[in-house]
Amino acid sequence: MAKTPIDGELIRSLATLLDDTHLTEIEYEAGGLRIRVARNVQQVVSAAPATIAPSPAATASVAPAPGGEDPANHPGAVKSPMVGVAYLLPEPDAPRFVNVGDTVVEGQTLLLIEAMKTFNTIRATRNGKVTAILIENGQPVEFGEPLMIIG
Amino acid sequence: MTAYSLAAPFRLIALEKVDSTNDEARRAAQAGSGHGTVVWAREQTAGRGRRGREWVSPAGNLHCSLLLDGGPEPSRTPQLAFVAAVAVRAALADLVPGAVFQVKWPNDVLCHGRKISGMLLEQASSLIVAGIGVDVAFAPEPGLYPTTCLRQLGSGAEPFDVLAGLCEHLGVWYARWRSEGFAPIRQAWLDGAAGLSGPVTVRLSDETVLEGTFAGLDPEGALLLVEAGGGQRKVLAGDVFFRR
Repeated sequence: MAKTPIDGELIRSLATLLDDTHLTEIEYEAGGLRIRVARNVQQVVSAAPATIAPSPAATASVAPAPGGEDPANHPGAVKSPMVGVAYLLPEPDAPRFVNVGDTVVEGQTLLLIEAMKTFNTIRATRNGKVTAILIENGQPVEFGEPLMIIG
Repeated sequence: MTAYSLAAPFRLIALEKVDSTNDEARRAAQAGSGHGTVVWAREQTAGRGRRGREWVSPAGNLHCSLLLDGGPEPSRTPQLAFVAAVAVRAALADLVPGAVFQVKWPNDVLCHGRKISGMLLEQASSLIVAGIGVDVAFAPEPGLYPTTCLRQLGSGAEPFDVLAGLCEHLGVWYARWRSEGFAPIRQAWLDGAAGLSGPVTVRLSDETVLEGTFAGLDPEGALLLVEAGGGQRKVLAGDVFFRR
């Protein structure tokens, strides 16, 4: 399939819809292109590998959501203690540790971060509900980068 | 298996059979075991490698997991992967003086290009559990990489001989890491690195494949890859293949 140009109009209307409905996240899929817009999150356009040439940065950040704020400043932000690669599932074919909307308790495993074949467990530091997952499975993350929001 | 013991600071928990020494070490950590605890099993029934891969673990090979204090900075705990790799390489070199052992990023040990040891480090309570497998009597069927074992290299060493040597070297390198930081570990690793300055293929977790020249390690241990266009990439996780 030919490379699909990013549809700015579509993203804008999804963002408006997100704002109007007060939802935290909308996912839209059509013709092999998947777009997810989320509140309090950098908007992420992620494309199926078949659509756009694969690259480790298969996500392209666009402008912050209207009214959005830096998730790193959110009091419920779970930040990465290290550089590495984040995994949302314990093993490639296993279910995710947590999903948006799940209730978590302090100490519960949220994700793993691998660096140099060392796997670090990232745990919830408080009880609450997962309101946003800010990363994709297998994505490289930086020190201090917000990973999830526990509301 | 009560006749076996290790020099301080290591304390041995020796088992005939266990699901996974990493899981047993994690349970020991939860029950209060501390830095230096070594879980050794003659056989693992559910040995694991990276990302859920099976680690074939027959009696006759070494399967062990060490609980280590990762130090005050969580961001530096991945450096323990290199501390362990340097220690395993040194222990194997003692056992087979004529053979050339090399480390492969980040912490496999190879002999003449064939994998003989692999590791998986995980967090266990406030400690790091370093799971280390060494093929002593049996080389597993080649999976991603060609394999060998100490027996094929002409050594009659038993698994405990390898464990004792590994703890001896690990004690020394761990102490240096805590007192001097990563620099001497990094240098020792580079001195024994396979494929340095050569062509390498790296497969990332999302199946992206990178090709280029293995240019070394960054100050934190990430693999530095120079791509054909001259751009440099830092790799924190992935499977590394040397091309000929």
